[in-house]
Order: sequence, then structure tokens, then C-alpha cells
Amino acid sequence: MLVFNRLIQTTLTLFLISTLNATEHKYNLGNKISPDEYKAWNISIYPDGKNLPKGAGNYKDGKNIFANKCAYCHGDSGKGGIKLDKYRSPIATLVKSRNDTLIGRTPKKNIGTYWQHSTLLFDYIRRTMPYENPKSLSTNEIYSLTAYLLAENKIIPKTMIVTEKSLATIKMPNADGFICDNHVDTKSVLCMKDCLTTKDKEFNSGILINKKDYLKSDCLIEAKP
Amino acid sequence: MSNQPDLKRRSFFTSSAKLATTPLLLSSLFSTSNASSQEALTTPSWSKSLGTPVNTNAYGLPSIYEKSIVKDILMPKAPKDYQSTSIALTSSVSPLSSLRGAITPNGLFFERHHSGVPQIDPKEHRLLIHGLVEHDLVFTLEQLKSFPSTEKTYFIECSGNTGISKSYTKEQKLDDRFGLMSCATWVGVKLSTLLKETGIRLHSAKYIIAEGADGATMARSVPISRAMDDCLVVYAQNGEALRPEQGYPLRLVVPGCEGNINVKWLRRLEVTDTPLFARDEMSKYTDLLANGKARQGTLVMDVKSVITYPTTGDNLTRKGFYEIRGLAWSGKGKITRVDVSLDGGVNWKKAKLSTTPLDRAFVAFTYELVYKGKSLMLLSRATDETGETQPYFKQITDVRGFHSESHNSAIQAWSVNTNGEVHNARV
Repeated sequence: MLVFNRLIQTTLTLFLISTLNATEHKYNLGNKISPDEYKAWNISIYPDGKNLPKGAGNYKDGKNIFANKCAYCHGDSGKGGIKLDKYRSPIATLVKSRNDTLIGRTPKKNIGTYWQHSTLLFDYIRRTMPYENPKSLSTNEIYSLTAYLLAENKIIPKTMIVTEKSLATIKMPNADGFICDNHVDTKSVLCMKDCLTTKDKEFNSGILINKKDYLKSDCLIEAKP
Repeated sequence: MSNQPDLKRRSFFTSSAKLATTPLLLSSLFSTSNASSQEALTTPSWSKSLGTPVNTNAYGLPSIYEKSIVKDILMPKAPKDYQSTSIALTSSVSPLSSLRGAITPNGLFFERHHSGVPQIDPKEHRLLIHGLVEHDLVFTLEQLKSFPSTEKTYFIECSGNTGISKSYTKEQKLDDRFGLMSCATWVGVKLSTLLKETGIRLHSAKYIIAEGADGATMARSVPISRAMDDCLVVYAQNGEALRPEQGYPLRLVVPGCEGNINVKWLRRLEVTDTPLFARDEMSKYTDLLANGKARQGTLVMDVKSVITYPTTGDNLTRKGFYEIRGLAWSGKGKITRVDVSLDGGVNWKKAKLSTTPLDRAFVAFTYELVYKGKSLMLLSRATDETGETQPYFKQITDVRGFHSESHNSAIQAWSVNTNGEVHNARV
């Protein structure tokens, strides 16, 4: 019976999806466009390397481009970066220094310690950089900058040629460093009187409040129990 | 408050000094006599002359006496050796301490952008929808405005607003701590309407990659559950076209979710079965925990509130009645109640919601205070319709540590000393 119900449910869902698709072009607004026509805008690069354009880059070229077009903001060899005030670490630091970690009093986030997927270097450089002249680099220049930054972060050897085939195979040190955020993670009660004078000074009494289902689907990665 | 009449001579206040700071007795208290004005009314120049002609400012401007009420730049000064000082300045804050009510005027809506504000010609602007759809479609602005329209009021809060890891001092002002948020009424077309128009393949679609047309061409992954629910592609804000700083001519609004995902200058929506893992959902806007792992995919902005008067820089120069004012909001629904504490959280009283609570919009609240010259610790605590109540800072840092830059929804405190001076405080 349960199986039968499931079957009905599935059929109904499929039916609803197909009717939804059948109502397409209800308004007949917007014009059809071919992939070739939107090629210039189709720039998202996915972690599996999908959509990477053909090309190749090397450390040496990358080093030159970086010195001319990037070091201005990111510091020499990507280690300096913009310093906003004397209290804070520089921002826009790209390259990991030897003792940089994500734990302790002053965690350091950069490509070597923090970045999740190697493909994002190509995606982001092409999208946004150089800051004052975005989308001015050639495909090979972007591959070269990618090779340079990965090598400076000691993720690949300086001799490695980075191409549309090899880039996605490079695993980042912090690839597994992200977890699904499925908070609510705090508990609060509507205490109205003598609230901080009770034994419970940690404010942790009360019930764990409801978690909405859609919060789970906000995750970019599978939620781990 | 400096233009307030000196009320110290009021006999009423000396006689009421023994009364508790409770709003219940206010009506009876105010039936006693007021102080005398000691100021004869005269006829000012503007009552004896002709004003400026109609439409002197074809786009109306605030009074010349309100010139100082502007957005402030949040970031500290760029380093001296930096040639282009504007390069590191990428956000401005709403002057919340000078605003009233729940709606932010368009000119004072906070800004955050990654490569400056583009000046986009609406005639040339296009919105492309492609990927897991039956037909890749491109829309002109005129076509988008021809779809059925929807008008909704939503707040937008940068997830870095009141960031845990940000430096903290008692001199910090409301606008600097909380100004990366605003609330407006948006008009546009439902994203789901556009996606259905393309014949979205709902059995395989899991994310919509939304991308802007600015220099940064910033992109974010929007879960399909939200995209097919209540996201909007908007072209108007508070009754007029979006301002360039807010995404003119098109912006994605993902109700209740962190500011960054409300992609401005929207040019492209790619329907995919995988997230992009974009720079701004990985390197930024993720919350690093004490153990070195980082939370990813925190979209919703939790229930939160703040007292907007009095705050740092205000001075309770007289004893007597003050209206405490504030804002409350939640990325999960309507605000159902706000409580205020005058003693740092020991005792709480219900505040009055002075605007109608709307789903995922600011609600304004007030609380009547009789100030007696004693030190106070002012707190506000919001609860939303999911039953979630705003936590203390310690509750959050107990779980997340001190390194996360984003998504801090902790209770804010303002201290009032015996001189009536107000400062930023933490409980």
C-alpha cells in the first residue's frame, strides 16, 4: 500500500512538473538566443572544470604579469596586500606564508590556506581582475597567473603547465575545510524577570528552536550529520 | 537634544524622582504643569516673504538644514602610498541614527560593491537566462517590465553588519556598527515567472547562478528552492527606478538573505545542477569557526534588533520622558515582538511595534522611558514568527568562536552613564 502511495505521489509530481513545462512561454516575452550568441557572457567555471576555455599558462609568464598588474594591490609575490590600518593584517593577501593557519588567535585566509577549488582562480581572475581593468587579460595570461599563484602557494610545482585539462585535477589544501551551515545554533528563551540573576548565567536554558527545512537547501555542500 | 528647553526647574521631575522607570504612570505624570517658555514668539523672515517657485528642484531635495544627513564611508582611510584612495572604499552605511520609521530613503540606502558603481544604459542592458531550460532566453528591460509585477517590502542586510571579528570600542556609533542594512519597497517580476517562461527543467535544476554586469561581474549561487519561491527581479525601489548604487537597472532580491546574494546590475541567470562555489560564497561570506572549519551557505539573516535612539553620541541632557526607538527584522518572517531591558538584561518589558510587521522587513519599535539620571544598560531583543529569539553575543561566540566575519545577530547594548552620555556596550 505504501509503495502504491509512493507511486501515485511520484506520478503526480512528474505530472505537475510536465504541466509546468507545458505552460512555458505563457507570456511570450523575451527572445530566444543561441549559446554562440551568449558565448561572451558564459564565463562561469565549475569545480569539475566545466566551461574552461582551451589554453595554457606557466609560472614564469604569470610572475611577470603579476608584478606588472597585480602586485600593486596584492603586494610583492602576493604576500603584502592592502593594509587598511596598523591593527589589522593586510587584506587581498593571496599567498600563504609558512606559518599561516586557520586556527589560533589570528587565522590567515588566503589561497593556500582557505580556497576551496582550484578552478575558482581562473573564474575569478577572468571575471574581476585586474581590479581597475577587468576582463583585459587573455586566456593564456589567466592560466599563467593561475599557475603562478598555485605554485607560490606551494600547491603545484613551478614547472607545471596549467591548462583546461589539468586545472580541475589540482586539489586545494582546504578543499574539505567547509561544512554545511545548518544553524540555528543558539538557544534563547523569552525570560522577562530576574533573567541574569538565576544560576544559568550561560543563557543556554530553553529549547532548541525550530529549524526551517529550506535552510538545509541553502548549503552548497551536502550537510553532514 | 541641545535645543530642548531646560527642564531641570520642573518641579514635577524632582517630585517624581522616586518613581520607577515605568511607562505605565506616564499619562498621569504628564498631567502636571509644564515649564514656562521664557521665549516670545516672533514672526520669522520666511513668514514675511515669497518662497522659491514651484519645482525649483525638479528632483526634490531635503531641507538645506538636513545637509549633514548623508551616508558615511565605513572603511578606514586607504594607506598613504596608495595612488587611488577610492580603491579600497567599497561600502557606505545608512545614517540610521538620523532616520525615522522602517523605510530607508533611496539616497540613504547603504552601498556595498566590489568594483565601483557602473553607469548602465538601460536600452543596452540585457538579462540572459540559460542552462537547464527548454529555451535560452534574453530579455530587454522593457520586456521584463511587461511581465506581471509584484511589490514587496524587504530589508537587505550585509552579512558583515556587526561582524563578530570586527574591532570593538565604546566610542563606536550606531551607523558604523549597524549601517550596512536598509529596507525598501521593491517592484519587479517574480524570478519564478521568468524561470517558467524559459521552461526550467525542475527535475534537474538545483541552483541559479546570478551574475552582475559591473566590473566585478560578481556571481552567487541561489538554491532552486528559494529561486522558485519568492525571489524577485526588481527594477524599482520605493516608487522610482533603482539607483545606480542599488543595481540600476535590475537587481535580484532574495528575501531575508545576506546582502551579497541580492545581486545588483543583474545580467545573467544560469540554471545549473551544481553551485558555482564563487569567490563570494567561499573566500568571503563564509564563517570560520575556532576549529579551522568554515561554515558555507549561510544565506538567511537571523532575527535581530537594535535601539537606534539613544545611541553613542546622544546625551540625555534632561531628566524625564524619552522615546526609545529601534528597528527589528528577521530573514525568516515577521517580527512578533520586541522586548527592551534597561538593566542589561535582568528585567525585560515589551516594546510597542510602531509600524505593521511585514514578512522579512524592518519593523520600528518604541519604548517609553522616564530617565532619572541613573546609569542604564539599554538592550533590545526581537522574536520572530518562527519562535526564534535574538541571542546574546556570548551565545553566538560559544558556538562559532571569534573569527567569523559575518552573520552576527547578537543583542546590542548601549550604556547610559549618570551624566546621560550614551556609549556602545557589550553584554
